[in-house]
Amino acid sequence: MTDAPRPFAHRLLPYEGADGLLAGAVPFLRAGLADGDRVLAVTSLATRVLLGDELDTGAVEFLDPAEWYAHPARTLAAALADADVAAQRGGRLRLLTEPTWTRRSAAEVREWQRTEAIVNAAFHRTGAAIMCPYPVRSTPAGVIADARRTHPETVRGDRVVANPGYVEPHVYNAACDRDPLPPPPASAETLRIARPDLYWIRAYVADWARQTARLPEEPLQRLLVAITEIMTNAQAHGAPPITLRMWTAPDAFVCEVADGGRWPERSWYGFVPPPPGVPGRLGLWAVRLLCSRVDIRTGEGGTTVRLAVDTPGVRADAL
Amino acid sequence: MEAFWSVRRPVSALHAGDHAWLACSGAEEHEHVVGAFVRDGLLAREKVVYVAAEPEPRIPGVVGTPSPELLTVLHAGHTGPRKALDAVTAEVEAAECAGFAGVRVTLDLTCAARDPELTRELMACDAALDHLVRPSAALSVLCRVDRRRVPPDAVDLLRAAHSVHAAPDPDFEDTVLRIVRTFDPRGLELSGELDASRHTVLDQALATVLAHGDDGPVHLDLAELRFIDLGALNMLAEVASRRAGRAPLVLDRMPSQLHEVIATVGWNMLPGLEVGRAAVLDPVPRP
Repeated sequence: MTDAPRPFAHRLLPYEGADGLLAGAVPFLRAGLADGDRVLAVTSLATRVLLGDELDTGAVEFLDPAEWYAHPARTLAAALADADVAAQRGGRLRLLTEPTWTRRSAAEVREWQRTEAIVNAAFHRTGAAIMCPYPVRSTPAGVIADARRTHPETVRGDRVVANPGYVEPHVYNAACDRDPLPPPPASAETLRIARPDLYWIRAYVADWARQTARLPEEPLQRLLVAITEIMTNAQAHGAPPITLRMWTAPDAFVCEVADGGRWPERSWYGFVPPPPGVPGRLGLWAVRLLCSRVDIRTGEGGTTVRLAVDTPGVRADAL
Repeated sequence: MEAFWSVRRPVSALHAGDHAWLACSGAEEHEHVVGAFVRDGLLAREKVVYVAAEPEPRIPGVVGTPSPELLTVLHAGHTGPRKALDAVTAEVEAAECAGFAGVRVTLDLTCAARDPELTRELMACDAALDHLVRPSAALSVLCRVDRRRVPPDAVDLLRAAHSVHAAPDPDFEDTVLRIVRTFDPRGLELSGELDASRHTVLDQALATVLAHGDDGPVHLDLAELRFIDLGALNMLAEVASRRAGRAPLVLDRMPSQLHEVIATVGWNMLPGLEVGRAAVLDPVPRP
């Protein structure tokens, strides 16, 4: 089979009421089932029931939004891996994803909005078809407005129209990071790094994380792999001075590396996972999978990479 | 004589008074371990006595033609352990008379260990050799068999009679990382922590293993590896992909935290790597 790569599609479905949702989602899913796509639907139970009344959903894989929308980088990597596999087999992944925007912090909303933009760069190679229904009444107006910047197309009834306000993913991504990071607390543990063995940096972080922050072993190991990667990058590509800082935040352990270097323009900062089958690409994107959050700022004043691992229920000694 | 305890000692750490044992899995291990024993002896200008079963053996660890005063090759053939012991004893006495500060003897016991009728004689001679070595301030002995050619019970008997088990010298060792060759299965044993500070030594060790091997699997024993960075995982995946079409790179006895990290980044990003033996609490003793 020598099918040409299928065109990638990432469509916004703003809807009011069940009829509006079904009018867009049902033809989308039906087309996938007819084409033999792998069809995934991340929807609420209510939507699942509605869809089940309209079409034979036996071949649709329904997924729980609470699990799907737990960690942007991991969700993106897992879905992209599925899309790559489908494309390698000459098929296509078809995704109906109903984001949940309420009960999320502003920072979380921003990360999922960013992910909507990154999707356009990451999934393009796979020819995946993605539709995102947004309930207009229960979604903040600002979120809908941003969705028109992160989705190349909007579905209106049975028509698909280009979004005039669509923003190129690099540009959108950069805009997400326009605000500076909040400064580290004055009490942060601070260490100026003068190119010692990475082993000693890990030992220092591990000691502090275990004793002061009571970080459990499992997240600590993930953090150590992440901090080693960031420190390796800073030593290889950054510029002195390199500073390591650690502190505890409510329910999180935070560790940041600042150096005097500046990253090249239009970097993906590890948001886009590499294509499969090419070894040797574990790097910053893997750091995003290992940590709960990764924030990067780079510019005239140098570069800061801030890693956080969530520690729900762990009480720190100090701070 | 039965040794109630034994130590594993890298071959270069063997010293006078050691009566050591090596059950070789093949020519590569023989070359690596026995070669180091011979080479270290010759470099230190010690007397080296190499006892071989076959005439005109190729002596591992020898560069050029060492002087016959330094290196004596004895052909034990099928004359039996007693005659070999007598010949070795004579050589050791001669070397001590000649004023050598160190004397190294390595004997191939394969032929004698294969013959059940010789077992009693072999064990008696080995005990006599033990009496000669243990009190000595100059003599060290490395007994060896080809494990593939000797019945397992004879290997067990001989292993139990030796208190020191010779191990390969590490390819690399510092306070953070140790890399040691393994021969059965072929591969490397990694202990400690591995990151960009030591990627080049991993690269070299992997290159050595791959250069000498056939297309069979290469095993990495990770039981004692406490940390591995993403860069080293990349290197392993690159090596595995260069071997595409051949046997995989197998990760044995992975610690749980490494499992966790790789599961998080996705095994699909590490094509060609395979999970081998699971980590066990009581590792089986090595031969």
